[in-house]
Amino acid sequence: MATVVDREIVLAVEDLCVELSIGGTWVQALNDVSVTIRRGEVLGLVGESGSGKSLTALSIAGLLPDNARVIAGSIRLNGDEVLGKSEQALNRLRARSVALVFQNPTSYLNPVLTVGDQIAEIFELNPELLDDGHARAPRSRRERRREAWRKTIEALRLVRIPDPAAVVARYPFELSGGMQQRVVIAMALVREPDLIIADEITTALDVTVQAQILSLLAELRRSIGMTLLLITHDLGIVAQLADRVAVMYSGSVVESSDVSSLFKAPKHPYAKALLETVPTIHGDHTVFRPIPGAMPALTDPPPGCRFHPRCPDVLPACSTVAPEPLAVARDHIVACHLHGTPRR
Amino acid sequence: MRALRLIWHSKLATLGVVLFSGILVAAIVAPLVIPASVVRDVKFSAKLSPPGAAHWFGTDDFGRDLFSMVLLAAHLDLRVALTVVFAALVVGTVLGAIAGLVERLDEPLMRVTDIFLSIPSLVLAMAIASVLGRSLQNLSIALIFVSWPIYCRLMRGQVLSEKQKPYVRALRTLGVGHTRMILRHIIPNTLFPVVARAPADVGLVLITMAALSYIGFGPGPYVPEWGSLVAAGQSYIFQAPWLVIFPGVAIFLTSLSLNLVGDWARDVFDPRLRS
Amino acid sequence: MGFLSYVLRRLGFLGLVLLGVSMVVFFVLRGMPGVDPLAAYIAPGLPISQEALSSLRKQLHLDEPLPVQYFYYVANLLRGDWGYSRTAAQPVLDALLGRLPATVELAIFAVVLSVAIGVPAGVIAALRKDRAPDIAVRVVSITGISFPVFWLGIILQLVFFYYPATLGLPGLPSRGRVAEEIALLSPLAPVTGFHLIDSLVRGNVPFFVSTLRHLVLPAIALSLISLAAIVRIMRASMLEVLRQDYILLARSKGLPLRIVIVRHALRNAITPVLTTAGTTLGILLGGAVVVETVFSWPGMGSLAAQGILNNDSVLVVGFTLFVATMMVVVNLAVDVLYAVVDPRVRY
Repeated sequence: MATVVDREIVLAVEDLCVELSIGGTWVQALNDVSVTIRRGEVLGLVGESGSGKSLTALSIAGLLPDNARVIAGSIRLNGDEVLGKSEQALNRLRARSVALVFQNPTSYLNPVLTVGDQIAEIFELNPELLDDGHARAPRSRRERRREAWRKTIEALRLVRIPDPAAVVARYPFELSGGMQQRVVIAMALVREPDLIIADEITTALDVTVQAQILSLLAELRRSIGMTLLLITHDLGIVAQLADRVAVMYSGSVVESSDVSSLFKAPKHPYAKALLETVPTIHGDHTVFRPIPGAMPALTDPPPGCRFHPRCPDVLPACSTVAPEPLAVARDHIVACHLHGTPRR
Repeated sequence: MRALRLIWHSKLATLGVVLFSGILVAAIVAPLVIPASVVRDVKFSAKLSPPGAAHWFGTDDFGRDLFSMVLLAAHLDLRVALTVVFAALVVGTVLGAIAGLVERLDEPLMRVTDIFLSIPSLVLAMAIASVLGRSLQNLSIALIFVSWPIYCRLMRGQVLSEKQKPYVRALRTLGVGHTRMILRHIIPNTLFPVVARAPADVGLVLITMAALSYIGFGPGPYVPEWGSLVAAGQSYIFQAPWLVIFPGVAIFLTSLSLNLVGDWARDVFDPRLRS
Repeated sequence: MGFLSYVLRRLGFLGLVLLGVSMVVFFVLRGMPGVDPLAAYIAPGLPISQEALSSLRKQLHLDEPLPVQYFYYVANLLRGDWGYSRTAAQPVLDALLGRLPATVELAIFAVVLSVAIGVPAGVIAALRKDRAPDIAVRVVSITGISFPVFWLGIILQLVFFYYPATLGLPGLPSRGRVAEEIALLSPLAPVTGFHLIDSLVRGNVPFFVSTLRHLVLPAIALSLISLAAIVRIMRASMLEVLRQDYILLARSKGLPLRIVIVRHALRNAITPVLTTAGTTLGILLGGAVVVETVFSWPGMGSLAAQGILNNDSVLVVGFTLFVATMMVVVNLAVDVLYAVVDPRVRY
């Protein structure tokens, strides 16, 4: 894979802190989260449920629910600061700059509108997408509608949906889970966004369908070179698709590096343990190595490093001081006392 | 006791309870304190006098004290409304429980309730009352006929969903007998959401009865009833608007207090109910 | 094809309900214990000969077993013979049909009013949950359902007719469908019986204006019941829909809030409102009985009210059957509308 370090930075999240309101009190849900993605790069954001991956995604698009608030940090999309934008400006951002694809396509598609309607309305909102560049720009409303419809069918074809002209008139409940997810991906692609965020997009699908979607993403990556934030808990997917990886635990990024470095030599104990949880088969028995304990509740986090109660290599400092992220190699950041402390 | 503490949390529900209790007390006390003869106490010299020190609500065209009549009417209206809803509740829940527990009777019972529910209550009450003849008792019977179906349907729904719950199956595997299960487990758990409907229903029955009295089909002219008081006052609406206002306000306040309590009860006992 | 079979299935079901209603009505009329079926047909206090009585018995097939009587009853109903009303001095069906347009015009006006106000109010209450508009809407709606309709009508008359009259201010009329002077000076040749439509068709503007003015107060009184119900259900339904995932996706596409609400949310949220509007029509028809009486509106309701005072059970029971039929028709229309809005229902 060609290095992408020289390409421009599309997404720069810096020290993002987000609080959640749980049962009336505000708790820290994201602690100084920092990630960067360059153009054409696929960043895998890995972590268990509750680690803060989805919250990060929603923050980038300005779609945090009412019970969440950003208290510090910055999110820059193409150099443009997202936090503090008006709702109108955010809408423009969501329309053309960042597109999200979510986990369960059935619940994310409007049941009373046809698939075609839900894609075509994007063209209605952004008529500039209809200008192909080479053809004359459609003028009248009827022309625009016809062009929008044509492009919708084209989009469906792009995501490898069979017989797109027929599917366009179908309702979501008439399609299988895999097809539904392709529709949502198509909705993201037609906007030609700078960044696509895919949040656990294959988790709710069968394994075979999952493989199809992943191969589709791989091909799209090759053909149109998309910039992708791939959120998942599945390391296998990361290995398949991602260039770089960031591992999250309980609201913080604990390690981030390129994929091969992480898989070959993970530094953070959590990342190490995560890789070891993949069951291995020895002869006729399977070895499971789960991580003991559970992720702490946000309302009662352990002091210092949040992972220390479960850490096999815990140091005394871990229970008092939260480790800062430090670079241990070029483009390889770890937040762990084992790998350098700020005081030294 | 716990229910009372729960009610305290909701200011509106508390208001409803306080208001209704006040009206109820007044209604109970009224016939004990006010002589029934006040209805025949014709005093033309005092006719159509506005509210004042002597007559708090004013007097009607016969010089009768409106305040006394409104209170006596409270007694009648509340007595009928509460009895009707109680009877309808009993009949409805029993039939509903049967429908839920006995498979074969479920379908026919549901068809019957469907039919009753497809006719607007005032209209059906009119039809039954007109056939039975004009009397307070017949009016009550008509209202009971109109009110029971909803309880039947609610109870049946509750029983059916309760039967599916895991704890029922668990109890069966433990060998708990049929009757014991029904009486000690299923019924108590299903009653609350159904009974929660009752307060609002009392208000509804009250208004229906007042409406029927208003159009003239209530108890006779010497029996005070809120609806017929309004009807009687309508002829003098211009000279003596209090004749129409006070009885109407009485109905409104009673119904409002019942609705406040009923709303709260529905929210507490059955937040998922969307009928 | 899915759509058509759905409609037919609903029609069949509702037809059965109607049949059941006729049975209940028949039972009420003839079979109730302690009730003499003949009483309805005889004006109380009027002497009647024995032969008249026995011929009446034969006409009504009263000597035959109940199921047979029921058969004749239904046969008559279908032929259009719903009995004769003493009060209207007409066959029951003719009397009801004659007064149908007045009631329907009022009811439709009331429903339109309650939907036009109720739907936006419910949406706003949902969007501004727990803030001032929401609380205001909820308070208004709970007081709304606590008002006895007939009393509201009278108060409306008091406030908008009687008091303005004393003060010399213009007010809204309180009786009838149209001002008597207008009916005399510029009479309307009826086409459908719906004054609003007819007067527009005939170009009779004074009649149209007067009809509109007369509709206002009774329609407001009548609409109150359904208004409260519609607001509540719209608010609850909207809140439920706004929590859904597809709304999040719609927002993530950068769609402006207006479009998200109207195109995505409302279409999903409106279906329970449709059902409610349909069921409230029934309550509306019941309420029409009192409202028409209060406002001297010449509709079916006031006729039935007179009938009940007259012990004219044939008329009252006929009215009941008629109302039940109307409700069945409305329910069918609601089901059809449901299938149009929500495609999942058609399968």
